[in-house]
Amino acid sequence: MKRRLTTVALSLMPLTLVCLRGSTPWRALGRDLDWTIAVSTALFWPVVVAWAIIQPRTQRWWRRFEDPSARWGLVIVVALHLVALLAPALVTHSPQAQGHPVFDRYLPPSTDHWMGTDVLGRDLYSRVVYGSRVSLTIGVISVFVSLVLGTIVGGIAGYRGGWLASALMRLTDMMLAFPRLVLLLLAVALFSPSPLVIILILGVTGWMSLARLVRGGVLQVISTEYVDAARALGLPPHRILIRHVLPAALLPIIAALALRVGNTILTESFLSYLGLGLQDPVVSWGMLIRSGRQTLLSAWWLSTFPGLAILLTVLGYNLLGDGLRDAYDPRLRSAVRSEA
Amino acid sequence: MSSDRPDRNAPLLQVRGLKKVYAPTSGFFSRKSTPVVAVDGVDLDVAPGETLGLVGESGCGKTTTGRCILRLIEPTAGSITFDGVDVRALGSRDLRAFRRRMQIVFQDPYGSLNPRLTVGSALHEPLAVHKIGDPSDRPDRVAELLRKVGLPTDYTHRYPHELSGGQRQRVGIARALAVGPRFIVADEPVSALDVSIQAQVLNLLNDLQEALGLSYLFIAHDLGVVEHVSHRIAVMYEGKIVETGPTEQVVGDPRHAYTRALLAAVPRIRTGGRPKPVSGDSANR
Amino acid sequence: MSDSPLLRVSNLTVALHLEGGTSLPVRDVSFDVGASETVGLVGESGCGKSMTALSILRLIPKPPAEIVAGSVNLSDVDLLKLDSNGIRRVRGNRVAMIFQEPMTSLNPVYSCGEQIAEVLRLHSGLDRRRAWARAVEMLDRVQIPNAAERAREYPHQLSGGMRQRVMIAMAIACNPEVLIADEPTTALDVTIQREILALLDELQAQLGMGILHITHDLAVVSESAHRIVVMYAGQVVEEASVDQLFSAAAHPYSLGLLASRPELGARRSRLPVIEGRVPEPSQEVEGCRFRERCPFAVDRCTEEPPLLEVSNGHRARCWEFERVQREGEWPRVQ
Repeated sequence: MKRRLTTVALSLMPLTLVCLRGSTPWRALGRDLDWTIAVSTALFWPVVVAWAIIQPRTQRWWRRFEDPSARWGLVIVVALHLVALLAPALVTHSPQAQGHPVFDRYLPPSTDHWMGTDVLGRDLYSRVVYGSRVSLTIGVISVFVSLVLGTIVGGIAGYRGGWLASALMRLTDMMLAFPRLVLLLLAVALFSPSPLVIILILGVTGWMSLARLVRGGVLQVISTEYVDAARALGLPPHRILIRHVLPAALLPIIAALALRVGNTILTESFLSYLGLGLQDPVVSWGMLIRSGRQTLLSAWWLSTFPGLAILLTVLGYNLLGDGLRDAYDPRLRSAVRSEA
Repeated sequence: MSSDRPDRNAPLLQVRGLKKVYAPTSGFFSRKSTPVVAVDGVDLDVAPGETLGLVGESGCGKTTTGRCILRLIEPTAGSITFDGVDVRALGSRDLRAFRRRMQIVFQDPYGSLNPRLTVGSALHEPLAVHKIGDPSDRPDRVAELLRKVGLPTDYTHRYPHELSGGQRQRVGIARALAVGPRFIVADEPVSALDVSIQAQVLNLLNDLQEALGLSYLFIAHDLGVVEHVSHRIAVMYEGKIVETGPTEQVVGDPRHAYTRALLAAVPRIRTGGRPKPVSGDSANR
Repeated sequence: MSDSPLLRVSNLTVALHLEGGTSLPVRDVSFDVGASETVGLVGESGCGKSMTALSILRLIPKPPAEIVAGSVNLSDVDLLKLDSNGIRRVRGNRVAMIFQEPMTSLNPVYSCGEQIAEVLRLHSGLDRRRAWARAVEMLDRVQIPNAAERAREYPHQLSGGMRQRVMIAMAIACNPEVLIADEPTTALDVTIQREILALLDELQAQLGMGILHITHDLAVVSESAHRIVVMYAGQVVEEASVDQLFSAAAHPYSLGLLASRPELGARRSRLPVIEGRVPEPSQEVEGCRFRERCPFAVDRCTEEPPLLEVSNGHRARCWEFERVQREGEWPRVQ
């Protein structure tokens, strides 16, 4: 099963790259959006597979999705990522192509323009589809950045203990106590908001709660006897941490990750809406809402459709997260052994 | 176990004045707590090929003692000499290499195996880390280990949850044997098992001792089990060894009051049975 | 056995509906518990002994478990036929239960006294004050020193032995006719175990209650029980008085259990072993369920034996019980 999944994922990655042909990561690092898209959509599958691999063996992985909310969440999330991946094939117009300055402005939804057009006559449907790339990329990668930071801090704090652990956890507490919005505003003021900068800012301000979760998981796992056994066998610490501790400790975090992706997409939209996030010509859903806010009563579609897109994404990720959390929480499972 | 006693003049393991104090945690953000003395000056000797039974009730410090000897828990004071090596002086790298010579078997056959590793990879891992044998003949070694503990060799592909408690305990023993130790701390290895399975595992430990010349520190709360496997017995109470001696002497002629109390409390099969209850509902018999 | 037993379990069968299919962890189990009598229900994990005990008070989780046949008569009432209010009035009142781990059975946020008083207010209708006074009295009765002060303490402040005493106090608070004790001393040290067993004997002498003592340890029930019921793979395989069982076991499994136990003062180089393992409840075995592990097995064992009368009050589920009794020793196979 594990091998089959890995094969599927590996075969999907070239497909990803084919869809993104023409992307030039080395030339426009950080500014060229294709680079981040390539990373995010390519990352999505390995993350799903990594997650499937670290399952405890007592259950088939698809059992996790027996819960309807997890299943619907997965369907929505996969569908959205496919939309982002295949955006060039799905759009009806170029997202940047401007229409006639008089006749194509503020057209309501029609068969030609499914979601209407904006002030410059650009097709909103195509812009929302392309916007999914930016929003999902930012959501997934910044949570990934948070996960890496949180795993390092939480893993060390949990496994090493001692003064280093105290110092790291105090740092975490301090970061948590600092209002995130202030940090975000400060960072946006200091750096010009390119997608990469937004990803890093969201990632670096979002790792604290994950670090706590990881530390809790690690503390729980290192008290098990199989970790003692690994130590008694003379395995080096890094091997114990990677092979025996982290797979079990990260398990409960997967649900939190899905919830955070939704949350982060909301935060990015919020920043963009305030005008502090991404700037033209990059298209994100938050920016689209912002551009429609003054004509909300006359051209309602401009803010409504990107808003619905955000709603659907956050809903999908939250359903997935909730469903997974229920699946991982043994207290919510009703398994009965024959002998109590 | 045979009655001829191994040579006790040259102990394989010598523990002197072992002490473990759980220090009070103090810090700016944490509340002060009182120190707990878990192990309080324990002396033990284990000869080659010998089983020393360490018996005591829960909380007496017997498990902590076992883990201190392996330095899974750092002792606070005392000396541990194994085959002429001062174990407490070893640096972390040397300690890891040294772990090939002393191993541990745990109580809980469910918690002591990583649920994500197959039996095969659990046994292969120590071989790879210690670079034991050629990479190409390691699968054979794994199979050999399984044979030694009486498991079918095709169990390499199984996961722990597919095995019964007794089978898992056998895997735990095989994993300890993988690195070729001379001494094994057996920490309540049968107390989580059913009676009929207990006998199988005790017999296995016995056979392995005879075949490989192993020494055991056999930690248990059940005097019946300890008496069955041990050449000598040490009785532990509140962090101290209160009595130690040959098995026959400790069981047959206990000197310390606590040993006597412990022996008296062991449930034995009484063929007499209880007198039949007085029929009817009389409140007093 | 008295003429009208206090508790009579007859032909109890429990089904467990899991995804893999339906299995029968308890198969056609019958036994009696008389007043002032202790019955030991003995078996290894997976033999169905706990499931049997829970079924008596209908405490098994339903679904997936379901009582499919049999009856549980307490005096003249069939507990399996009572409605949910009726069974609730029996639980903790006429039939009480104590468990292996008192820490998980006691509520950590209430003091011990409050928990006992709650049971009393529920079943005996005492007011708050009188219930508290009686709770303290109960704690005193289970020999907890300074009962009035201890009543105010919380479960985590007590040792394991003390917690089990509190559980017992709660169980006997309403003067039950039957006490079901599910591995009451397994989690305790031997010295504490002895005290708890002595306490149960003493309370039985005072209150005249019947005790069903469930355990995996034959030695424990040999000291405390009058009669023993041995279960294997969901079935009763032998039922005998303590005397009969330990001097002349008639079922090979009982014999094997006795032999494989490292008994104090009986040092041997190798323990006799019952090879193999218990069949899963879902596994259907043709004939005797112990046949494949049995050194006494003969051709006839492919036909399932009923519980055969060995002697007065002694029954065994084995065709060959006479040979088993005659040889009286578990053969050593190397």
